[in-house]
Amino acid sequence: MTDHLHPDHSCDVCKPLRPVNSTLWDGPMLGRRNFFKIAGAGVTGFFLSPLLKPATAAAGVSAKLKGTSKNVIFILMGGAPSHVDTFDLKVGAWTPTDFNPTTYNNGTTLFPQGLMPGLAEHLGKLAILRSVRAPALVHQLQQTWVQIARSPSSALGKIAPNIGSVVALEMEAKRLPNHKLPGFISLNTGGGLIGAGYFNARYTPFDVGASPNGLSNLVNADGKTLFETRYAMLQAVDGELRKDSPLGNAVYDMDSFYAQSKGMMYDPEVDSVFKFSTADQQRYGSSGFGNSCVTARNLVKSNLGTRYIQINIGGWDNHTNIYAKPGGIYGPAGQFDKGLSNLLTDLAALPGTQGGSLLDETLIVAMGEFGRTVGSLTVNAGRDHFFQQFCVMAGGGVEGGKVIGSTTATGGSTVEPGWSQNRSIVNEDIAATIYSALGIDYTTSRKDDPFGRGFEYVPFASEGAWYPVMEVFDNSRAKASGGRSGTTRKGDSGRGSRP
Amino acid sequence: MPLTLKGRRSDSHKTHRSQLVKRIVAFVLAAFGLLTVLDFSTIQFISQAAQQRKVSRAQAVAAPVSVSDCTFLKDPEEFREAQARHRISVSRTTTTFSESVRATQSALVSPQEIPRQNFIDTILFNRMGRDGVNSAPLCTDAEFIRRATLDLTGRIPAPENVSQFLADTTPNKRDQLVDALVNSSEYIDKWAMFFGDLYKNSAFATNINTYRGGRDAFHYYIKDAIGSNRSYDQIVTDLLAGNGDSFNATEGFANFIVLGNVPMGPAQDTMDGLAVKASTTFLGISAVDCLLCHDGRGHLDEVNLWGAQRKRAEAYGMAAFFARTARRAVQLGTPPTTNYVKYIVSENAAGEYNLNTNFGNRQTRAAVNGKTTAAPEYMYGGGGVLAGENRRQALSRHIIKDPQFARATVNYIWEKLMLEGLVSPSNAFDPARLDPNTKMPEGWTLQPANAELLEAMAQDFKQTGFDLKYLISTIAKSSAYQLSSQYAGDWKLDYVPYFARKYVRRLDAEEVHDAILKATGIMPTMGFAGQPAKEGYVITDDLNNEIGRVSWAMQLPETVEPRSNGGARAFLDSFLRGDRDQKLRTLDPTILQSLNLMNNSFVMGRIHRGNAGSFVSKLLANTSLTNEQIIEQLYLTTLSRQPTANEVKKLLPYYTSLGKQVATESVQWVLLNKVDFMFNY
Repeated sequence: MTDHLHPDHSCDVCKPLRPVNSTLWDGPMLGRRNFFKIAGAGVTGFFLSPLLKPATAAAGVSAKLKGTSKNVIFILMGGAPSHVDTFDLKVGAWTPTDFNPTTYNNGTTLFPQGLMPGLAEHLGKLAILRSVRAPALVHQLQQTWVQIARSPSSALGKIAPNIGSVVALEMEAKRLPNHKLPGFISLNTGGGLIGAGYFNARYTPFDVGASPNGLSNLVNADGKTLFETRYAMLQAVDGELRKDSPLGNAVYDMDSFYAQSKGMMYDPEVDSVFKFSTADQQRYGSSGFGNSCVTARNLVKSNLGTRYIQINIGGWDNHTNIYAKPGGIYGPAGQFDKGLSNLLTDLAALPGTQGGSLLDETLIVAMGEFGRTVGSLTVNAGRDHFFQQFCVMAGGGVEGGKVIGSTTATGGSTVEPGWSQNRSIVNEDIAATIYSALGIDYTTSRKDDPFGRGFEYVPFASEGAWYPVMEVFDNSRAKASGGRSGTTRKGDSGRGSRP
Repeated sequence: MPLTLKGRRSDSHKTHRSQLVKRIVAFVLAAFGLLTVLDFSTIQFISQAAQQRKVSRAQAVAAPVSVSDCTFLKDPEEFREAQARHRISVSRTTTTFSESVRATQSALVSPQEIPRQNFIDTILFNRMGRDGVNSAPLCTDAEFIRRATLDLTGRIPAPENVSQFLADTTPNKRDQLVDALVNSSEYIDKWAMFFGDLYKNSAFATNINTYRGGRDAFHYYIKDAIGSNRSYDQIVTDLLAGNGDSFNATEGFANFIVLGNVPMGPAQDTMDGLAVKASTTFLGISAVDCLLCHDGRGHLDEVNLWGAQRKRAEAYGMAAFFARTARRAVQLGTPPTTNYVKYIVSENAAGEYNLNTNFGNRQTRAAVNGKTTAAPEYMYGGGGVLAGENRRQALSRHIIKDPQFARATVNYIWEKLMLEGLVSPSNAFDPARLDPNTKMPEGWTLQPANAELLEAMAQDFKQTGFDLKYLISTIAKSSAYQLSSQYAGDWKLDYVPYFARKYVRRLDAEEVHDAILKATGIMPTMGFAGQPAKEGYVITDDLNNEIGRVSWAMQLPETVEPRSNGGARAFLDSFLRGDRDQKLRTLDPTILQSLNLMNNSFVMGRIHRGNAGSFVSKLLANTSLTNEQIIEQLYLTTLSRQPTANEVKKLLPYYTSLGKQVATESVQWVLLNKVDFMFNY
């Protein structure tokens, strides 16, 4: 595949995307016909390569399970961050001076230190995947794809659960009596959050707006005493109606949901998860994302049954004036930097349950739904939608300081996939990696979907179509060893000069 | 029986696979183009790749086929059990609920004793009598008025209506109630929501933005059609064959075609998408989705008998009816909002369904028998385009004439009111397994729970001019609809298709919201800085200008509104109303629902004496009422029934310990959180 250069906007594929004086791709409908062109071209080129180089895995492959992580924090960078301005930095005449491009990790990682100074100090904890390609360039469609690890247009796309719901369901058996919080909690999400699909509502993300004041509706406006009295009244007139069902199925037992809800109310443990100090709030950047990171830290620390946390951070759809301050990319990048770097600091400092740190047993994954156009900026001084993207991982058995894959000089396409499958990484592979880290068999095919088609956690993974990126893991770490390898490396080793 | 079927399946698969292997090279490019967009296509690609690997690895070994070409075949047993699973769910919800409401159980009756209100009862109860299944008795009047009011209008009944109805001695008062309900304005709200869901009317769908302008126009069209009881064949003709402006309220039907857009593929993908949408929505046949990628044989053999006999080329014939459908975008925005558009739907004079694609959402389309285009041909019984008729007009004519259209429609409505379709799921019809007079091939059974009833209802619907209001009333007036949800005997899963009791459901999100308004007497208000608050949630147009206010959730134009009120949205969303796009509407319980009902200001701001206009404040203002009478009034208003003596006994002491005001507020809180508030039973 030829590299997709279009610094001068002369490329036939991309040209129609850029009518003069217009904002592009604000919604799925904009320029759809043009989209076909670019999608068609990108698609054919991209997906041809793995076929020409068939996967080495045969049909009926067994799952590769790493099992090094207990928790997952998945950060969806909504709007699609520019990869060439962040984790696959390409320096050119367009690069603002204050990005301060600096190399880290023995020269392997060129990073905009000035844009994200906090994370620059943590690069030794991060594995950066650069050979990642998005299958589509429509925000809503692709954000859904990221969350369900399959095409939303596919047979099961409309009923597919969020990866987090699958994790919650898989971890259900390991819940202990003191696990009073739901298995899947989402923070800072907008309208695009994908829920439990056809799974039982028990696995629906418990969607929370993080704030120092804690969770709403965990206290009653009339006070605890009166609430308790009323709850007793309710039991008195409803007691017989709220007995465990004769079939023993909590699913249909309204009382179990009331009991769980009441269990979360007036509970200092639950409160301590959702409430936090203004000092923490400020340290994490005083943003919705920062607040969510504090809450995520507290959730992991509390060990109250939550295993999958999704946090959304929007603002990356920089079609116009990407380098303008304080907006542009500086806004979301600043929030992301403050929130994630402090989360990494805190989790690495907190003791885990297996001898290592909490970071050692918590996989953090951050990515957008796709990348942005490369080279110099568009006529709107921004970057439009593009297939090449990045994914960042840390903790949970991930070997920090690693870069997987490389891209062309412009960042337009993958040069070296850098992993076993020798092709670009897609959403399904990322999902398989997450499941693998948790020790969940991603080739599982459930028999309970309403269409009876068989719901596969990662579609066709059992046939070797998609595969976990095992290269991100620290292979010196055995399954669930709890070793500290992920945190002993220092981020600023090999620090170099600006190119 | 399963053995013969399985044998047949693997034979057919071997054939199918060997054909595929020969075509691998030709498929390579196409398969990878497909992969990007659709899992369903991915299936094809993967099996190609897997096939290729198998072939190269061990040509000589006849490896057992471990993976099917189609997810349908991953486990056909499971698919065939889809209906069984739904039956289990309906049965379990109902038994669990009624186990809890033991107080009013009454004895089972012989089906001979159930009054035959109309032909539905004749067929259902005769069948039960023949098979020796006892029936639940008819429900009480209090149960009936709440059930019918919720089902037909989405609201709980007003307490005075409950009292009047209970006191009414007119013999046919239940029929009279149904007539009154289906002629109320609330009926329009409820069924506009139902059809809005069915047609997936949404402003910002994954596949296309119709914008709030398009959504509202479609909503107005649906409301008007329901309100004027437009015959359903007319509605379908509007939706399928209509031309118009997607923002024009009288032409809002045009959005049905607009919403059928399938992005990221050639134009044929959208034609296919519309064919699937038309088949699923109006005929209840979703199998055409499979057929637009491949022949049925070897794929649908165990899933859909009719589908198994169909060829992909026949599905092309359906899609070809949309080959001349034009959707022209008209820019409405001024820069930088140039993506703000409406659409003009029309019919082009020319245009064909070309068999020449190799990318997009579906498998490569290639010439069939030397023909490079597919002619429009109705795949359920044949028929093309007449002179003077355009393609979409022809298709709507075929659909309306097709008995399957009436079957599918009555089944959708039956499923909504009875909670278990005669064919379930209601979009999984198998046209080859509907006629009890046809001998089924070995291993196949008749699909409908009661084929005779389905056929009779379909006939009746057709003969009465596809009258939706009549159809809904007919079901609601039947004894079958009016059975108790209690079953004082050994309930068996096998009884589910007999409809020997009424199945229960949780209230829809909108119904919960509206029931709280109605029970507490406090409507939502919104105000803006410097202005007094006014009743209703603000609904805005695409430019965020207020275009009106809505208080009742059932009147919202879309299940993601009101955008103007995050609190109300979050409350409604917690009851899983879906988004008509990616999120399904479900009736599952969640933690968030309980937290909301117990503590949300939406509830807490309505139960107090101090909440202006609250029902509680009115009760407390009336000093002539005894504590018992207050409890009774709260039960009537909130649960549409009288309290039991035991309930009064348990609540009265709180009037001593908490005092009159707090006790009254507490009783309303308790009733809003009571199990029977959340259910329609």
